[in-house]
Amino acid sequence: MPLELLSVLAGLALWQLLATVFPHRLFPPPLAVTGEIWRLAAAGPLLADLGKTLTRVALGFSLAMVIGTALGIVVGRYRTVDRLASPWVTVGLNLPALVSAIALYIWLGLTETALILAVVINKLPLVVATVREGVRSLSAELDELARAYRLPLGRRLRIVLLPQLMPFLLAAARTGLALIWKIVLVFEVLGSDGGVGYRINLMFQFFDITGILAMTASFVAVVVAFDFFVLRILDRRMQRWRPVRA
Amino acid sequence: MATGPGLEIDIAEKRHHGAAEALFAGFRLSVAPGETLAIVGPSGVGKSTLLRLIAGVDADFSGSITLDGVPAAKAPAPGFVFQDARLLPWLTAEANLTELGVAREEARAALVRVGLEGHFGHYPHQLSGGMQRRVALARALSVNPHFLLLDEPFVSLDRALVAGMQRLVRELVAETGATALMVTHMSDDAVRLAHRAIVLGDRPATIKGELQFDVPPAHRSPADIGRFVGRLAEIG
Repeated sequence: MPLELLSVLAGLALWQLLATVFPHRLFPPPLAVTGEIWRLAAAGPLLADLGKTLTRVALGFSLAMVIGTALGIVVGRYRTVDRLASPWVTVGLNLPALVSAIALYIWLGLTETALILAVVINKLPLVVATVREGVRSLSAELDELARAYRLPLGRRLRIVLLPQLMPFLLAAARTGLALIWKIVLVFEVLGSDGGVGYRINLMFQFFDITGILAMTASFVAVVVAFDFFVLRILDRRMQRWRPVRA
Repeated sequence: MATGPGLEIDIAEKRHHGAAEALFAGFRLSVAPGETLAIVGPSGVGKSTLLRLIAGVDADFSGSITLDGVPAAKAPAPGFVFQDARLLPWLTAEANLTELGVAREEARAALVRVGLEGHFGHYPHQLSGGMQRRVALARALSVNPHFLLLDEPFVSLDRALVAGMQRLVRELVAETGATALMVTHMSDDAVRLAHRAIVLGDRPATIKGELQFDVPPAHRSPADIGRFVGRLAEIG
C-alpha cells in the first residue's frame, strides 16, 4: 500500500478513535460524515454545489494560469518591464484575498464576474512570480543552439522553452490550485447564489458541523484527486527524462 | 560530389557591448569550398566569437560574412558542434536529431555512423560524455553535412576517445566534401584534420600566421604531424 494512502487511513482512524472516546454533537466521527456525504449527494445539494464551485475554480485557475504565464514570460524577459511590474507583483502577493473580493463585490455587485475576477487577481501574482523565475533561469546555451540550428518559433517554444519552463508551470499550478479553491470558498461565503462556500455558510447558521465537514471533505477529495491523478502524473511524464533519484 | 560552400569573411568591426577595444577590426578571411580550416590561438582571442558570427548566431557586427554569396544569417543552418555536447536533455538521442527536421531514417543512419547503434532511444543522461559528443556530431552532420563549424570539438575528452573522434570527423568530412572550420587551442587537433591552419593573436585579432599543410589529412604520418605542430608553434 502506498505510504500516502496509509497516512490518510491512519488519520481517519485517529479521528474515529477520538470521536468515539470523546463523543459530542459538535465532533462527529468520520463514519457519520461519510453518511452525511452520501445523504447530501443522493438527496441534497452536494453535487450541484460542487459543480458550481468547481466551475469557478476551473475558470479562475485557467484564466490566472494563461494570463500569468504570458505576463511572467514578458516580465522575465525584459528587464524594464520587470522593474515596472515588480512592485505590483509584490503588492499582489501580499494583498489580502478578502479585500479584493469585497472591493470587487462593491464595484461589480454580487456577480459571477466579480468572483472570478477576484480569484484571478489573487492568483495572478503567484503565477507571474513563478514563471518569471523560470524565464530568468532559461539556458543561454540552448538559446544559442536554437538560433544556430535556425529553429522556427513554434518548434523553439515546444522543444526548447516549454520543457525548461515546465517545472515552474507545474509548481505554479499546484500551489495556485491549493490557493484558489480556498479563496473561492471564502468568496462564496461573502456573496454567491450557490456553491460549497455558500452551503457551508448556511450550515454554519445551524451549527451543522457534520454537514460542513461533509461538504468540505467532498470538495477536498475532488481537489486532491485532481492533484494526484492529473498534476502528479503530468509532472512525472514531463520529468521522465531526468536521471532517477534514489 | 557536391562540396561545401565557399566562405568570405570581411568584418569591419566587432566589439562586445561596453568593451573598450574591438575584438575584430578590418578582419578578412576566405575559405575555399571543401576546405577544412583550423583556427588556432589562445583563449579569449575571439575564436569562438568568430564561429558564432559565421553561424549567423551573432549579427551584431559591421561588415559582411557570406557563404556562396549569401549572408551568413540567411544561409542554411550550419552543422555546429559546440564545446559541450549541448543536447536537449528531455529528448532521446534520436529525437535530438529528428526534432531539428532530420528524417528518422537519416537520424538513425547518422547515429549508427558515429557508433551509437542501439542507443537511439536513450536520453542524454543515460549516455556517457563521449557518447553525448558523438550524438552532437551526428546532429551536426545530419543537419548540414556540407558546412561544419566545430568549436573545440575534442576539449575535455580523454585522448583515447579523441583519436577515434578525430578519425571519424576526418572520414566524414572527406566523404561529404564539407567546408569545415574548426576552432581549437590544440595544435595537434589542427594538424590531424585541417588542410590549412591560421593562428590568431592580439586585439583586435589579427592573423599572425598561416600554414598550408602539404600532405592530405588521411595520409599524414606521425613525423608529418610532429613537423606541422612544430611549425605552428613557431608561428604562434
